[in-house]
Amino acid sequence: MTTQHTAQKAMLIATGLTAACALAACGGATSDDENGSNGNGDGRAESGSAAETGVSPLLLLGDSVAAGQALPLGQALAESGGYFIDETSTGGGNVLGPNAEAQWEDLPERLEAAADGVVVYQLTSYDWGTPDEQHDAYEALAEVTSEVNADLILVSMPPIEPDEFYADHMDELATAAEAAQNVAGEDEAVEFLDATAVWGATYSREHDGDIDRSDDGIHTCPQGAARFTSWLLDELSELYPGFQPADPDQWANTGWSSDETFTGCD
Amino acid sequence: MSHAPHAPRHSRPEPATRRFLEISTKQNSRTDGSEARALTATKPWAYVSSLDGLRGLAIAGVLLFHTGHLDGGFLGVDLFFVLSGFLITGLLLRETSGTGSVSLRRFWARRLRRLFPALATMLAAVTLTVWWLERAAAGMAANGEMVRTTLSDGPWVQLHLINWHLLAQDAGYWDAFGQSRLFAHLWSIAVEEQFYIVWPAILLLTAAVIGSVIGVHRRRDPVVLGWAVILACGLLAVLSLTLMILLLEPADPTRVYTGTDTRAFSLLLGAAAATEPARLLFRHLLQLLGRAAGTVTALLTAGILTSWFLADGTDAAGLFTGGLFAHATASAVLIGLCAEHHARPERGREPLQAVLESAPLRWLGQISYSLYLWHWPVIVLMAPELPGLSGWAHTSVVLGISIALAAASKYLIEDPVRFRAGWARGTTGAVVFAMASAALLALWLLLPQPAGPQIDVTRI
Repeated sequence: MTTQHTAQKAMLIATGLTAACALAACGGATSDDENGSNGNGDGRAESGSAAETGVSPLLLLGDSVAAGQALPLGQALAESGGYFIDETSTGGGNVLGPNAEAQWEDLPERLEAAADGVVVYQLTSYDWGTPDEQHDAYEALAEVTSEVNADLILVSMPPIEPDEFYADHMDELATAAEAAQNVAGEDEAVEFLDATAVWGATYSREHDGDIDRSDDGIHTCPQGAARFTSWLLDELSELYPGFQPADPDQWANTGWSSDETFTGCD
Repeated sequence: MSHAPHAPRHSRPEPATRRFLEISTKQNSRTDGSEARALTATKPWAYVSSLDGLRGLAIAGVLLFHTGHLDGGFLGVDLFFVLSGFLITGLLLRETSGTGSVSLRRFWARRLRRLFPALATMLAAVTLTVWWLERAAAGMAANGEMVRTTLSDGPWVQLHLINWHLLAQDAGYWDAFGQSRLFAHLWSIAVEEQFYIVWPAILLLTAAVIGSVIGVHRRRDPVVLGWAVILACGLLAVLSLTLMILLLEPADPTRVYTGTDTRAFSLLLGAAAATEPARLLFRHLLQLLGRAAGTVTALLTAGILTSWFLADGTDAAGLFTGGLFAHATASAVLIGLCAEHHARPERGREPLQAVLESAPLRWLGQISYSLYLWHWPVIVLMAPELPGLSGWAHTSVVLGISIALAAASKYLIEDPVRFRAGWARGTTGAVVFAMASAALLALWLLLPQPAGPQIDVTRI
């Protein structure tokens, strides 16, 4: 995985040059818009009740792992009357570790979209650093979140099966959750959610016979992303009394599972 | 691993170009200095058989890399890049020296005739095959995910932007993420296509600057034009290398490995080697070396091939901070020496030439474009899990099928369209191209995508 900002810009420029063809070609080949996963379309169907509970707008920060989870979450939140903003980033999204500086350059501005709502940061597989550095980064995130009058929810990352890329950083990743928990303990506007209930303590591709995780050992698969979404909505309903999550029947099979974000799942 | 290398370019001026060169030579009867030099200094390299041998080496490296037998075989792509820059620039410079300009329309039409038919055929055949395999549940490696990525990647291949699309999709070249992408290897074809679109315009601009600064007639002087191109190549290549170093993420160098900007130096170094001053340099070098020229050239080749055996993917020390640049430089020098040696048959046939001009290696080079197109889909679809196949046995089957498909593509599609199909030229050719492009677009858009996995709501 690599930071893609430059590539994305270049792609956008090139796409502009070939707009007609690209639009025709890609309109049917991607499903983001259809899924409302980027905060568009269905994601804008915010209801007054969801906003009143404080759970909307909900902005998700994270890396490419979270990007997969954003797909059902966007659908589920929309069906629950919330406004979802996907600010995950493939190959990045981390608030410390490699290229975090790039994330911080415009993070405060991006978080403005979550004003009076919730920012969910799923700890990323790039959150490399000492416990103190992790603590400082999460604390800094809490500060910029509070500046837009939003709550911050820190969520532990799914355990991974490290390849060479991650092998040297597993000790650092192991301390991230505790650092996040400490920040939550020090700041009333910050909550920490341990997603071990969803993923287990160690990487497991299957859960009750279903494929939950990608065979790359890192990312999630649709069934796992759906289970995470259901769990997170339940947690939100506890944190925000009055918020009523939509039934999974309303969002689980709406087409998002065919998004090419999910790889290694068949 | 989804690396993929490249494809071939021509070594032989196409018939129309050859006719043009002959005509322009006869018509150039003026005897002012630059015109005379244009006529005398640029005797075409024409077809250089040893360059086909180099293509053969390059595609062999790639094939061995993708089948897990040569960790540094990905450097074959770099050799392809340098060859492409060299050959294309040679054609463009000859045209510029002959006419003072370049017909972009004719250039791009030639590129399309050369590259599009085989590519379009492979795209359509692979897409329909994987789609059918998935629907028929025919096993092998085809699955819904593969069909979805194939249908979504296809338009980007067609737009020659697949390298940027894959980067945006986070499809790292060096990890297993791209395993299900049948067109992942076409990133390098996209890099070359983007170069073909931009480079002629840069050459035209360079010629125009020469014309405005030192006189219109001087832009046809191959030496003056050559030095200007070398200057442009040098500046752009250094910029490209600088970008590679600055944008490098050691943990995953996919961005710098597949980005057009960061790989441009290989094409540019090849381009610089095709200029008249470089050609004179190679000529003098061969004269200086005398009988030792063959040994030096063989050692240079051995050095390049040794780097393929020593390089270990991203772990190769300094690969992205100068190593690739050094490889491309060595490749450019080797190509220049081979071409110049070929232009002076009186030097005799050195052992290296004998190897590079051997029939099997040249044939491999001649089918390298189609072989490059086909080999990766075959490798992905014929996973090693196939019963009873593993190791070299599996490799042999995969390569055998790939070579058979490539040969069919070369003799049934590439060559007929390039050399014999009158309908592939002019207005008719443009109409056919538009229709084929529209058909491919329809394929991506209309072929039903497999549904994603059904979520079991009772278990979430």
